[in-house]
Amino acid sequence: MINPPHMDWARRLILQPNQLDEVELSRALEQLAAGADFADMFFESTKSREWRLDNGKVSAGSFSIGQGLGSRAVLGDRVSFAHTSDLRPEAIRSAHQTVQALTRLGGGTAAAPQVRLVPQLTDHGLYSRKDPLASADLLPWVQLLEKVDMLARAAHPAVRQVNASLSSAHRVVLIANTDGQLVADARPVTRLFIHVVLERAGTRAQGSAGVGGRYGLEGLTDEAVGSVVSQAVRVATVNLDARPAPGGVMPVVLGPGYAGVLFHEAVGHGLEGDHHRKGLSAFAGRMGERIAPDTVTVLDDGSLPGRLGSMGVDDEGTPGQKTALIENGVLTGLMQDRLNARLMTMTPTGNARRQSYAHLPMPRMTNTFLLAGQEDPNDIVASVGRGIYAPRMGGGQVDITSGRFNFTAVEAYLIEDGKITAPVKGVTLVGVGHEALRHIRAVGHDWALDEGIATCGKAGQTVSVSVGQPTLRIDEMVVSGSV
Amino acid sequence: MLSAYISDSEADLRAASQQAVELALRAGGREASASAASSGGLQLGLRDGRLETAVRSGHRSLNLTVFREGRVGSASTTTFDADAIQRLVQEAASIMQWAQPDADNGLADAADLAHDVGQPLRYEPVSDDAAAMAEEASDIERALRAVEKPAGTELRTSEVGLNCSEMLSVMVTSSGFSRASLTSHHVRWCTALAARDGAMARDYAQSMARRRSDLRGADWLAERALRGATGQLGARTVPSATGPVLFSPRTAQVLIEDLVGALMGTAQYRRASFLAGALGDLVAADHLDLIEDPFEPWGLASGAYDAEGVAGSRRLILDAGVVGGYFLNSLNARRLGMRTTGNASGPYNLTLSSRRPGGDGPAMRRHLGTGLLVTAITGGHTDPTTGHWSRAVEGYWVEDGVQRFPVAGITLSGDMRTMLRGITHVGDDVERFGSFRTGSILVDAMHIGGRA
Repeated sequence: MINPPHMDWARRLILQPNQLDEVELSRALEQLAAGADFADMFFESTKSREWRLDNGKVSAGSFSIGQGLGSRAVLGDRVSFAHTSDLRPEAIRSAHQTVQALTRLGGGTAAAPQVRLVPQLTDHGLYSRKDPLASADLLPWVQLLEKVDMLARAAHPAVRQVNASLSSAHRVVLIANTDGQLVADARPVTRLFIHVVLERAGTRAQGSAGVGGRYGLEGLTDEAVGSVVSQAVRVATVNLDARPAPGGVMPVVLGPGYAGVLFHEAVGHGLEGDHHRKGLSAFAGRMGERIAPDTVTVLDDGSLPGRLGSMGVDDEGTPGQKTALIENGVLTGLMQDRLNARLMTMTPTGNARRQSYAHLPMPRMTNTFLLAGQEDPNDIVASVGRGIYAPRMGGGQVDITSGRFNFTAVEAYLIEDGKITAPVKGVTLVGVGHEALRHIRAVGHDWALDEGIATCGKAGQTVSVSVGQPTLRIDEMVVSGSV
Repeated sequence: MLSAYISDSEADLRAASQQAVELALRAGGREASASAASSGGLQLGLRDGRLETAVRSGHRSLNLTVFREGRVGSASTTTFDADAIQRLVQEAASIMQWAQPDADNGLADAADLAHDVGQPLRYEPVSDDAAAMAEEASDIERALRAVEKPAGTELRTSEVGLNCSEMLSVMVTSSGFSRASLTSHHVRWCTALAARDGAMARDYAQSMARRRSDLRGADWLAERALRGATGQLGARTVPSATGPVLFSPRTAQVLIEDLVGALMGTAQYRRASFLAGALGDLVAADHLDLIEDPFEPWGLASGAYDAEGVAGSRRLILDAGVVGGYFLNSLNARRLGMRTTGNASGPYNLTLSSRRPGGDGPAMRRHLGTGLLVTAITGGHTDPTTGHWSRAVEGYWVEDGVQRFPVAGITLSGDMRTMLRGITHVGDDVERFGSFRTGSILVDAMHIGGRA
């Protein structure tokens, strides 16, 4: 079997080695669900490999095997959960006994349900079903990183250090629940990350860039690798000459792609179902309200082929799908998992995600982005008298309760009289979600997603996401800098 | 077995580690090191006084690193059966064969191994069960409800969390090192969401300790979280300005993190540090000391040896503002022509202090005079290479030493080298956050970005 479908991967890697089958899983679910009104088991088998370029040599590599089970019982809004990396039947029974005891602590007394699992043979075609680690030939990994070193050192005479990491993982998940659902998904990930340090006349600066997607090593084409190297070196070059930014309130033009982290922070987190159910979000109770100009449409779409936020099924077995968060300026949708959707009498939207079997699922973003508008990006820059042009971002954060968010540009320039002029040192931009949305003046036609290295942290769990947008002008943002 | 939460015995973990090392040597390795760990714990989460999540955790891992003539490969697994260990060894050996050699790779020098350095106190059996923890959570919830609130302010939502865990780990090397260690860990936290006149603000408080009796009480946590949340209600911006900034103990730790990051071996040999090559240089105000102590009883970052089996030492990282040492493992030490400092697992307990104590909280605000008190850092970053420091912050505006109104939605920027030299006072209001201990820190001048 070279290309087994998703369920075959799960049988081969999870069920068969541990002498598990549908009947055994059904019994386990019945035990798990005692006292509860819903229960699910989340199995995971993940292999990953990483190679690092360090000090001019491809001298370090590592491999890891991770497997385990997270078992959850839900009673109303209460969740009991246990996880184990031991998948032998007796270990699973013991974990489920623990969950039962925890459920009773929460007051659960309901009788155990009858479960009959029906395997779901998904083939969503969103990403390759190949195992990116199948080949034992490690030479291509070493060669790719050698090429990165060579390209970076050739790109600029001031390059002093080139560090890079190349990693792939194959994550097979199997979900079984008391509704009788039994579904698997085999998710490949490959990422290349580059960090360079330049030194000129005693001044040093760094730059980094990366690329990734749901593919194997073959997804890293020469063109993709060349582009990442030149971006990292360009950012470092720009930062060698950067001067302090002016501080205060001014117009900001964000470039296409990763700058879409703005919508991830300013809009996305505030539209996650759990934050609404708990009344924590500044957007709670505002569905149907106009919150932005009608040029603004923001989507979360877990069904984009090859993207790191994409999932054939989410971590509760719901198919990845498209959800409109803001449609033509009007707040329209929430991102939901099963628990929060049920408690809010809504429908799950394929946004249940978890870092691993050892973590509980939560409503999380997948690929979140602003759709393209009509304007020429050059005209957008030319429309600004004095402001900041920020094409590349680091990370961002949001306080969903106040709606205050911030994000950091790792490459930024002054705009003076409609022209991009001097590079400025990394600036932090601050705003309040609903205010920033109102201040969106112009939306470009140059839509792009990020290069595939974005991750999102929530409640201590990290997952891969994508963000995106076209060039965008916001009239007022607070910019860090010297006065 | 001592522990209620760990399912593996020391003998199991030792056997798995030894087997991995032996097989690695048979597979062509000249040297190898393996460590196995098993941990478990219980976590409860409550919202508005109701139990919402109860989680029983259980982790295992086995890590192997194998060396041959400067080539290195490593692998890890969460299952310890014979097949998994075979696979682990095969993968690590295969990486070792393909890796390019670097003469600096290898186990720690035999002379540096901490075979019998005494283990500081780090373990007390965890006896907490779910019912007892639920009771304790109710105490924190009651305390939150009992805190006096300003008129018109309500506690809209509260969350309380409790976690206890234990970890057993064993480390074995082909150079004869073989030790086991046991740790316990407790965390308690709560968040309060306060509301007044349609405005909402949230804050949290947390306490972490190796033994239960060292945790802060329910009243302290409740007071902290609720005072932080109500204090931020009605926060506004301030005009852009350059002036003195007082970092609360909780936010001051970010400055220590940036300083520590700049002195890590990797940043040093890559020269990706704003303090590259600064050993022996005056880099901070000359009244500042930063002490590292691996042996503090019950310290959250205490330990007798690091991930390479090497002990750390009680030492001055900053001695009157002068860099006294870096944080090195064997590889980075060899690259820099130095000796490992036993920091392969990171820094041990660190305490920042001043030879000119700045007094308590009110005294520190008087030293600030008129300026910004930072109580939360909500985002931003430090460029580790240039030291350019840029953050989004919240806090209070202080006039003539008196706290006037809450501030939010502003940025703060500066240059780490200038900021370290510009520290005028460190308060006696010392608090511990993880491995760092510091009082509030007063910096003479930074740039505030706000709205005119």
